[in-house]
Amino acid sequence: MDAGFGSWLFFMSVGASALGGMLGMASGIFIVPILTLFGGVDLRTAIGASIVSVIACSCGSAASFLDGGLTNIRLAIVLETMTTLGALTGVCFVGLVPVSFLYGLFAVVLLVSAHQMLARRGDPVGISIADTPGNWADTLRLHASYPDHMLGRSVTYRVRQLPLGMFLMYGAGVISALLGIGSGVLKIPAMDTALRLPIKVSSATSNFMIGVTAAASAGAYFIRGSIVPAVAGPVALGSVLGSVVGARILMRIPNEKVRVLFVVVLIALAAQMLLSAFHIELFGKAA
Amino acid sequence: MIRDDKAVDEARRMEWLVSRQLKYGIWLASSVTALGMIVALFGRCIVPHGHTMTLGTSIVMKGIAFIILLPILRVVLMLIMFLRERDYLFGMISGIVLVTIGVSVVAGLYAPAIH
Repeated sequence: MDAGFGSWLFFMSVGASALGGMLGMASGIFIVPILTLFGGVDLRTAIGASIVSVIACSCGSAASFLDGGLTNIRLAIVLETMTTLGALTGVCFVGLVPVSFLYGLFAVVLLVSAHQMLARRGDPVGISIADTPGNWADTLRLHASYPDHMLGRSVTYRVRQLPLGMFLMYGAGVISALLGIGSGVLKIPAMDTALRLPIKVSSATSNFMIGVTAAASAGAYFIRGSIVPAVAGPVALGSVLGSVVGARILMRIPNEKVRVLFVVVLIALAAQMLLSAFHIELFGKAA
Repeated sequence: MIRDDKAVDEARRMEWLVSRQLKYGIWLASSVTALGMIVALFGRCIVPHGHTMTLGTSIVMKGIAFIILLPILRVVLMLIMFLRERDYLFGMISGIVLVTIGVSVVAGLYAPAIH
């Protein structure tokens, strides 16, 4: 463990996580590219460090969502059966796919994130779709309500299209394990398009599930020895601290400029990850 | 209509317990990790010839293991609470999640790693 590199990892993670937190994104999506492109860390170590920080951030912010009554924990545990199954699939296949494929997949995820950042999420609750009687969500009693402070009342919502939602969650679990990220990129469409949850509920519930999903793959990488304490320790600590800082700044900064800055950063990282997939390095010293 | 009052109370209680477990758990796990890093990086200043780097690194590893265990313990906690409420369906769902995590961790030992 080296003090200089350790501090760099720590402060880089604080920054990435604080910036991510300001726009409600997880830091994992920045940690892996920064570690591999600028830190000279190999992809496997970067994924191991990132997945631990993803768990730490999820646990660190879960309490405030739970206390606010926003997290639907019954829905979360049902969806977690699929996200953990996805993580298991990812753990089994991560060694079989070529590293350049992982870099390429990461580039795609970054580009989709950039797209999602540009397209504003509308609250999908109002859109009505036919509700089949006797569906899964009814049987499992997943419908719930949450307190909305803006409206000053409790808002009741229904959970739609559970099978489609679960299928997308499986994909989110696979991506999470393969790339060491929380994979909000797939969870957001699953929650908005399929389940049609209010945004506050889907953010809280997604954050809650990310921890368990990441634990399934992190446990595997830990047992295997892919988690390097000298890298994962500072990154996890920095991310937790950054997420606390980011949540505080969220209210005060004009959102539009940060959003544009983020899109630019995401596209730049995607371009470099894509070049890494083809073993071309413009900057950095990654293998 | 959707839930009776008793079920709402039980759901609130579970939210509260899980929230405390994760909140204090992450504080403890982060503190252990931070302690390990301090020992590894600055232990030399106090014990110049000791094995502080090895000791610190092993403490960091324990902190990381604890971070990974937090969400798993959260599912265990939910499993226990569902069973106490005699909600056997959700007890079983929690059990499935735990078994899947267990299989995934074991798979880590045998599945090929990135090289």
